[in-house]
Amino acid sequence: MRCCNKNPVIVLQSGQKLCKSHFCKYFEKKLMRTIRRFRLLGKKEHLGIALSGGKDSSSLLFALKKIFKNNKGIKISAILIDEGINGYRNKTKRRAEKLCKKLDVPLHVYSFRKEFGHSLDGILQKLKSNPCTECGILRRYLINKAARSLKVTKLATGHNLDDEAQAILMNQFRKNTALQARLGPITGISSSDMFVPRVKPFYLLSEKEVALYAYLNGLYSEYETCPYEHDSFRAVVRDKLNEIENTSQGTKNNIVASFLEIHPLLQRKYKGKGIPICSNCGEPSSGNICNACKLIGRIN
Amino acid sequence: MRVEIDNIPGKERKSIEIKAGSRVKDALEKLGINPVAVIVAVNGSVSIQEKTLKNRDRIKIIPVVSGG
Repeated sequence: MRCCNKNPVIVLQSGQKLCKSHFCKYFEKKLMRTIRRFRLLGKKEHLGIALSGGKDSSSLLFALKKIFKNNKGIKISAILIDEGINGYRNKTKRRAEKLCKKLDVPLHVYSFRKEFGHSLDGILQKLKSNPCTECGILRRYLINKAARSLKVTKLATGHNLDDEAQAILMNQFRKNTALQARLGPITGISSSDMFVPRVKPFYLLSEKEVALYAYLNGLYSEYETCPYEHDSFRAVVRDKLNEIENTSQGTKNNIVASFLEIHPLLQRKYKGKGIPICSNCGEPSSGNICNACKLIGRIN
Repeated sequence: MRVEIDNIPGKERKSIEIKAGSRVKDALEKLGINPVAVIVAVNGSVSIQEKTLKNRDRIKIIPVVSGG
């Protein structure tokens, strides 16, 4: 991409410097290329954006709304899951509401307390377990249920290149090969009417590029971090990976690129015969009883 | 020369002494901050880390990592 080279805001891996305006064009072009390369969207979709109010999902909503503003085939809605994290989610929720109002996007809010009878803070007080694991189980459950009830055809998440590289390494470290097969720009290995396909349009954009896009577009100025985040294994992997990236530029790209080469083989190996249904709640499950029902059962 | 540092992740605002002709990345190194994990604004404008600093420049450090 040619650039006026006035006041550069980033140096790309290729060594090219870009100003604010050309960086935003580069970012949106790369986003569109990712959507086309992995066929993330069809010509007609009701796209649900999993919005948290953080930099990734806010940038995703902002960029997709801009790209598809004249496309009548793509309808965009936002879905926010309120886990009930005191002092954190209320702030990001207010930002999400403000952004949706500005962009004229309908926002649908679903809460753990209403769906499961407990906030995440309450659950963790009772279970004293890994916050990210428990939150992830309930969040994935609720967002799928919400997307289905809103007749969303694709659910887009703000996962970026760094998230994917971290997940690939975490699965390697834990020998979670079956989980590895479910990664990729389109999540999951089996299809079902009960499961809304999840796509990752930021799959090839780094966390730094997404943060820069968010900052330059005034989506918000200060980033809050989930208070439970420091407890996670992911945070350890992320920091180590950033250390390696600092001395060997392109490491994260290479991890994801090499994963994409073997991904079709993993998908073939672990492809199931459809998605089982939980005998308790009727939602998609990995076994007879889904993880969300098991978790709520442990609390009640 | 001295530069002012704002919003160091997890730390207070402070002023540091660096050699004349230092770049943003040199200041980050002195602070022990990984340049991969931050965006930097110098005197209010987002800048690349190769930018040469001047005496009394104000550097704002914005972490790229956020959860949730």
